[in-house]
Amino acid sequence: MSARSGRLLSAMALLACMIALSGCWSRKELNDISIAAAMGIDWKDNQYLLTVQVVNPGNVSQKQGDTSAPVVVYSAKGVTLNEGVRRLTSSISRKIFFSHIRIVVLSEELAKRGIARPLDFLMRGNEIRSDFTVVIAKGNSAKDVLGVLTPIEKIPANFIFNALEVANKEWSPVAAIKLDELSKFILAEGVSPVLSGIHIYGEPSKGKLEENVKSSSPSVRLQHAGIAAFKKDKLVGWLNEKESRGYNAITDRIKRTSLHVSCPDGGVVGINIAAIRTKMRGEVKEGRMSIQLQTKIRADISSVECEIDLTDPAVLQTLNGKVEAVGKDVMRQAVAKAKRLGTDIFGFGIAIHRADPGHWKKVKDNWDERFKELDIAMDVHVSITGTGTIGESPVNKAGDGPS
Amino acid sequence: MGTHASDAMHDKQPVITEPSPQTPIAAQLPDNLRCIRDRVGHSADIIIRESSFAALGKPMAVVYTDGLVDVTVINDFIMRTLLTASAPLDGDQDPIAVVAATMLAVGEISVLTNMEQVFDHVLSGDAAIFIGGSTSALSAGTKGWKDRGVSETSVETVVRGPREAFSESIRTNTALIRRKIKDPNLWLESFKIGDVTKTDVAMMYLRGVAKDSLVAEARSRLLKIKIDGIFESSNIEEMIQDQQLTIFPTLYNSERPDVIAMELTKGKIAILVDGTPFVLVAPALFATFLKASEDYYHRFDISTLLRILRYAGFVVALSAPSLYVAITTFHQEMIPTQLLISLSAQREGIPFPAFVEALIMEGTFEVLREAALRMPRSIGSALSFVGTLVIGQAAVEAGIISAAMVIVVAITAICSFVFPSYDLSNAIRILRFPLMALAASFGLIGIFIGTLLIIMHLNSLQSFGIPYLSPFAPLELAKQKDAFLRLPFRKLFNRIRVMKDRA
Repeated sequence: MSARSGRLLSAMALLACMIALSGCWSRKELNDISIAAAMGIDWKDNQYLLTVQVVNPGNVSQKQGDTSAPVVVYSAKGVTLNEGVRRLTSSISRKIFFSHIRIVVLSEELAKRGIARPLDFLMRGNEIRSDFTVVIAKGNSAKDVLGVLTPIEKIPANFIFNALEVANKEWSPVAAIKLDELSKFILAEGVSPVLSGIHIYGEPSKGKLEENVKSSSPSVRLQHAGIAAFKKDKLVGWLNEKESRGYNAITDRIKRTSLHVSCPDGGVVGINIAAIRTKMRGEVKEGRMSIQLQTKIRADISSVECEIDLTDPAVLQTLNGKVEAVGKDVMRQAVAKAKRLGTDIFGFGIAIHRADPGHWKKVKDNWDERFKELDIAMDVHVSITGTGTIGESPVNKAGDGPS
Repeated sequence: MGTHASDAMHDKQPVITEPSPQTPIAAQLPDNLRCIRDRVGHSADIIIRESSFAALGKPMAVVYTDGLVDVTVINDFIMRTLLTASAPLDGDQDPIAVVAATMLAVGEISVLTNMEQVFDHVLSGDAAIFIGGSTSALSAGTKGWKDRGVSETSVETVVRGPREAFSESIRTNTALIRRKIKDPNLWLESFKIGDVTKTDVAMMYLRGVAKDSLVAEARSRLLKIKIDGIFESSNIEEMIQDQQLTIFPTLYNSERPDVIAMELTKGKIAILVDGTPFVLVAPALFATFLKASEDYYHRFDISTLLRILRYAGFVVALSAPSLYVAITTFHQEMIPTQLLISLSAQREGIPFPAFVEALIMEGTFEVLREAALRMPRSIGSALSFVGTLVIGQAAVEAGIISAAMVIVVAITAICSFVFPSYDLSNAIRILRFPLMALAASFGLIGIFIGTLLIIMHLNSLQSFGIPYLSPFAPLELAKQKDAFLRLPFRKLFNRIRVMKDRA
């Protein structure tokens, strides 16, 4: 009994020592870390210029009387990104904590050079998660983009992230691509990545000041600007708004959007796209490759600004046809642009691969050229199901519709 | 243990534990009375009423302890009968036997043959009757002292259910159980435990429902107890529990007759101790401590949900502070970004590491809790006032403790009160601190190690030979109806019948 309890005692003493002596190797108190919300990567003087947007928690949480800026932006150069991260510590008092990054901004210059190399660092490290969105700074440096303060959202990274998510759902000329999806794009055969662009409107240096967010219409603001098309990992061109929407329609990334069609005798009808689904199918017949796109659109009337009778089924038929034409048009423009840039951003290659793996093996080495020969057949089916809560338009009653 | 204790006793009070040979009752009445007076040191509450037994013309004496007896019974049914009895007795017969058989209008009668028995009875509230010339005495059941009667439950309160609670009198308590179970199979075995206190202990069980082996085991454990005094049922609990080295309770206790009656119908054993309203139940499993009596009085759906809530409360009460410490100091990536920022803002300027912060707050809470129990009730409100101010506001406003930590400690405190059993919440109180230390040293890994150790320990426990974690481990599907869940009664009652058949 006494030998056993003696052993037990010594075991407990050893355990107690362990608690005191362990040193807690990975312990970091909350006030010893700086939470990074966004990271920007520029290419300058043949080096990476790493920019980090660090949250100032005192300002962001609901405490009164803190007049400091909600975020602080630090930059450091480095031949490798990790060097940049380490060099940052010379200008910051705390360890930067990268797990909560929402946004990574890459400069256009870097994107033209190729994004695979910097992405390797982001994917390899275990502290950085893969659920942040990657965007391209269009016309500005990533450092400038991260410096702009945004209204309502105190943390600009959250602004960029949320605005992108909302725009992707409700308006759709953007592509919210997260790191894991981007790496899939880069690694997969038969598809090239796209990334959303972001642009600063106004003078970037003014955007850094608190005054910018104190105004009701900030003079400097961030805005999403089209989709950047890549060839492999290199930026080759930008899709405009129409082409971007076409891209989203073809790749089935779109949820809702809005468009307008013209009336037979002038004026417009606003159409709200409530749901849209596209199925992509590849086909190889006697060496001839083609892609079938089947799109189903369910839409509502959102506004009527001309004299038409919505109770007439024939009118709705006509509107269906017009929406169909608009849909085909944006999709065709997107395809045309991609063919011009010579990059298959839609993943047609994957569809061909699925349809005929044998044939794919023959064409894949030269796919960006062969892609230009593809026949794209579009089948758009539109059904306008809702006409809103009023039947007859006030425009009809007023009798002064635009003529 | 026994010899050790009596050795210690020997130095102080040699009289009591002196193994005195049994003193026979002398034929001469004065000898007996002198013996009594000497042994009790002429204590004033031992009343010796000497008179003459009319029927035989012999001296007689009635001995009783004032305060423990019902004086009306002694006056009306013993003294009056004996003093006025006129029928002359046959001289050959032992007068004691005749009196016992024909004269006393008292229910409980026994014949005593030596002085030790006399003391046992007199000091427990019976009256002893001596008649000159007889070498035996008579004890009449005259127990009747002031007790506070059956009052309302004070520890285990319910919204719906019986309000009565056990009292300090073992007879009242057995009666309360009898009133719930009117079955001749409800058996009661009596013990006197404690060399000095000679406390009445009773073991009750439903014969045929409780396993014979369990009854025999409980009996033998009770008989093995060697101790000077039993003052509360927890003294018994400590002496008969399976393992001494555990912080988990392996016997259940309740002050509610309905709970005890229900446990008896489930085949368990109740151990009642005179002088305490808390009745022990054996065996008691982990699941027992998370069941409230009200679970059976409300509809099964809400009872099941509340039971699940209690299990969740167990987890929170055990691990909330340690999880907070582990996650905020090791695993910040697990916290949602907004929450992390707000936690981080609260921790700005806090001088202590999260672990020290947690220790301070948990320690303060434990001190407050203990102080609230110990202090006179009349100044209790002052304490809660200070407690609220110290914990709730001043510490946070002074920037010594973060508000989040106060919230965590408060949640932990609330959760530790959801158990119907105080004993289990004590076990959690103790375990919380090592778990916090593990969390502060190794993060979640430490918590997992700690939890693993706790589960291993729980698995090693037994209560009267039954695995402590059953019916979860080993898994008994049939008993899941009333463990984590509380299924409708129709299903539960089947189970009781099955147990009865098997026994």
